[in-house]
Amino acid sequence: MKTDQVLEALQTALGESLLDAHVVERIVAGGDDRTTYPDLWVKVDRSALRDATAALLAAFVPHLTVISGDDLGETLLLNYHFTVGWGTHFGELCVTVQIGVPKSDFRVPTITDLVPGALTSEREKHEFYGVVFDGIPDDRNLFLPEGMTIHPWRRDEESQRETDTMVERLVKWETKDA
Amino acid sequence: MHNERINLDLGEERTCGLTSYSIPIGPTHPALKEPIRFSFDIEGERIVGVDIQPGFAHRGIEYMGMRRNLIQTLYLSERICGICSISHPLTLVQAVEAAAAIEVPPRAQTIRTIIGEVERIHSHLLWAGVGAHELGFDTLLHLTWNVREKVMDLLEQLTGNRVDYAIPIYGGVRRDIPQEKAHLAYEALEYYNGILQQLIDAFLHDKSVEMRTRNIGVMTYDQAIALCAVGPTARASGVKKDVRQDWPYFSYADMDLHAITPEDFGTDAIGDVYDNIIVRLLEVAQSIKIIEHCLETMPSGELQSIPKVPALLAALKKAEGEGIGRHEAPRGEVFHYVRLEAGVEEPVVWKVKAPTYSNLMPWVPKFLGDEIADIPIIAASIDPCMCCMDRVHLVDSGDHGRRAILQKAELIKLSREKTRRVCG
Amino acid sequence: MTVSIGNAIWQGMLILFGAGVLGLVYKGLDRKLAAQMQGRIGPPLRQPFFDVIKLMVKENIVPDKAVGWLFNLMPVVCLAATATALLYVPLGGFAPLLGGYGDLILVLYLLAVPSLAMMLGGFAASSPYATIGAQREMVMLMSYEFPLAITLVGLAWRLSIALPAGSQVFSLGVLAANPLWTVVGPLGVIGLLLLFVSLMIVTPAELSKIPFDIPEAETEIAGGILAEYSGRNLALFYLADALKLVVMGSLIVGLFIPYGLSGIFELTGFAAGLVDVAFYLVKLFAVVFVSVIVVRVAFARLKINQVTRLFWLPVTALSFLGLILLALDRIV
Repeated sequence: MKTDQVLEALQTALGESLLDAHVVERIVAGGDDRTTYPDLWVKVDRSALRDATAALLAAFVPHLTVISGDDLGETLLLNYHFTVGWGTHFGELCVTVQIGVPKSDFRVPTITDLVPGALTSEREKHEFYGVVFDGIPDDRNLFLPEGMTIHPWRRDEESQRETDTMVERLVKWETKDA
Repeated sequence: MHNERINLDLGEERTCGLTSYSIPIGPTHPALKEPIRFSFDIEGERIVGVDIQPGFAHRGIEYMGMRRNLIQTLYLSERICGICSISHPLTLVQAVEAAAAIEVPPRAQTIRTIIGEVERIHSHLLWAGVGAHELGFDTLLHLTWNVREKVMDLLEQLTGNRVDYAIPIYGGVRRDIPQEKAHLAYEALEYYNGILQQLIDAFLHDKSVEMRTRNIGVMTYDQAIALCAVGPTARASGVKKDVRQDWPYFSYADMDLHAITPEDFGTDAIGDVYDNIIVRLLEVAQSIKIIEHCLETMPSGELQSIPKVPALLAALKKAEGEGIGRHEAPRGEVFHYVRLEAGVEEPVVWKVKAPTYSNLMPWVPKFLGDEIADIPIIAASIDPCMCCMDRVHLVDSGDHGRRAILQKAELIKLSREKTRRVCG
Repeated sequence: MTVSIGNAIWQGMLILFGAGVLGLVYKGLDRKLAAQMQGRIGPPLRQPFFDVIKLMVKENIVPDKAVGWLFNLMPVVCLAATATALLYVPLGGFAPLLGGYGDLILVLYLLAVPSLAMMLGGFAASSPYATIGAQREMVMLMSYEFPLAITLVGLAWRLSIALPAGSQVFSLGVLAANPLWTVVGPLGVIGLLLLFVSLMIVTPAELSKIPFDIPEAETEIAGGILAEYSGRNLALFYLADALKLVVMGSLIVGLFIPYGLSGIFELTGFAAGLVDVAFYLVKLFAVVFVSVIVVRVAFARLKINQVTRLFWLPVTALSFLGLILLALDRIV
């Protein structure tokens, strides 16, 4: 079973740094059969992110779909959504590697040297959350204009206020003729 | 995203003696159907460097979605993209259903599959037409788009709309495909079965198309994997990656699909524009088969597991958890991540990943080493879709050299002033 | 041929006006027929006239960084050169208004001037797109001039052998008055056919039409040479383009199919003129239809290196072969 293989590979490589791992069964009812397929969620220490990526790279050909972020207040949760085992019929497994980044030390090691395709996603997280990726080859804003310092997806008061002010101005202007 | 900063051996060396100059393509340019900015470093006619700046169409949809209840967010997601307008809602419902553990009746799954595949046909034909136009082959554009009208009619007959079909809802679909409408679908499929070979001949057996697309915009197998390419862009490079094949969802879970690569056409995968055409045209044939299969094996039963909207909203408000949804959109994998919290109507986190997001980086190796004349078709080859818009924009404010951040209202004001000035 | 200055002026005016109208009508036909072939409805036939009028009333913008005088001068040069060339080619079954001595070579040069003017205009615009367009125009010019020159010179050379010594074989009027088809033998006919084909291939390149519209390439360089042109200047280029269509078409008609119908129907005087003009219009349309309209509907735009290769290798080979066959015909 693929889930076990992935878990084993991660456990061997990370040891104690693998904080949590759980499997979620997804219900798929295509025709009249009701089948479940697993998704794997693992939580690792921030320092072990590169090891986790390297472990996946060593054992499989992982595809990084995207990095999603979740501002929990004190920490920012980054979800690295990998998929492994693609290319075989129903053999693909979504592996989400979660790391917590405390806002007091807002840095994450880059994985662009391991997975070059991660650059787009890392630049996006950089501009939308303000998190710093150590060693990122290009930290310019990607979607937001150059020089924009507001981080719209952060939930702390200051960022929220700035973003909301910007949106309010827009809404006020958009609806003034209505 | 600057090529020099990417850790890849692209096998390119700058030729000495020629001075390079830079040309901007975009944000508005006839080769682009949506705003994006490329800065090309050119030597003679050859591209030696490219920098890509997206974001001209960033509307902050995720921000908006996180401030609306889930049903509103569903309709909002439909507006992310006009061409693949079913792909985002199809993905969002999967993510929310996974997070809230809502089951979907089989008939609804099949209807979702059918609409998704009909959309694929229209999207691929649209792309083929755009590609022909970029090559300066307008006859083929008009032929292809004329052929595409049939599938647009079918979409309207099945869903009521040519775009933005509003079919999926959490736990099912909003509209049935009744038996008396199935013949419309069969008619359209028969039409495409008949005409597809003509299209394949017009595109793939045409000398002038081949001259402009063979060995142009090449991305190798290894580059496709390293840069995380998705969809037909990756498959053209021989990467057998297709969510419908790899990861069971909807009615695809009952099918034995395989990812279409140029090998299915009997040629080796080079990863050039020609291969992109092969993959997309063969996928139209694949979609026709899938729709036929779905129509034949359509299960009976309910359309929605929670038919009443207030009940659905209440159930979603109680739900807690996180989920991911994936769908193979015509351009590649769409991915949504959703986290729900009990007592909150809005999704706490909503992350959307459109196929073009993954295919931004593959543009770099595709462009390098090719010529200015190839820019439009290579730009089009990944079937880009910048699904986002301007909220803030940087412009030169008139005092040369000084730049300022101007918001939309100010930009409109400036533009109106200009109009008055020009009209006297 | 002797004409008084006064006559020449009003005839010249008539030719320019008539050819201008004709060129725009053919442009309209081109758009309409191409649209029909592509399954579209297409614009009304008089759309090119509307376009010219619209452009004439529009603002004429000169970019800040452009070399103003050069930028504004080039459309005029382009139109003037094309108009001059028009006076040297046989139109409507009549002998050309001007010429008589070596005007074949002059026309060859006059045909190159509009391209050079557009090129200079493009460079003067100081826009990256226009600069690339101008570079491409330069390469295009170097590519198609060779087969064009071979064809024209080959014809004149063959005629010089056929006609008594001292004839003005480098005159288009003489070439048109003495069609070569009846002069040469079977080998020569094949040779002439080859030259005819190569001239037909050169025509869309000379007129910058798909598949050879590389200097303008809308989807690549946004109009290229013309990217920065607007208003009156653009209208002048547009008119020059319409005139060039008539010049190239008439050149082919004059060199290869100069026959009239009046002789067959034994007509004379005004009726003969009318029939010949009508027949000339049909011939001109046939040439335009085959070498411009059908070609631009049936092909994708080529790249600049592909165009150069096409003209330097196969098309040049074609015209050389034609030339050799003409020579062999003489020997055999």
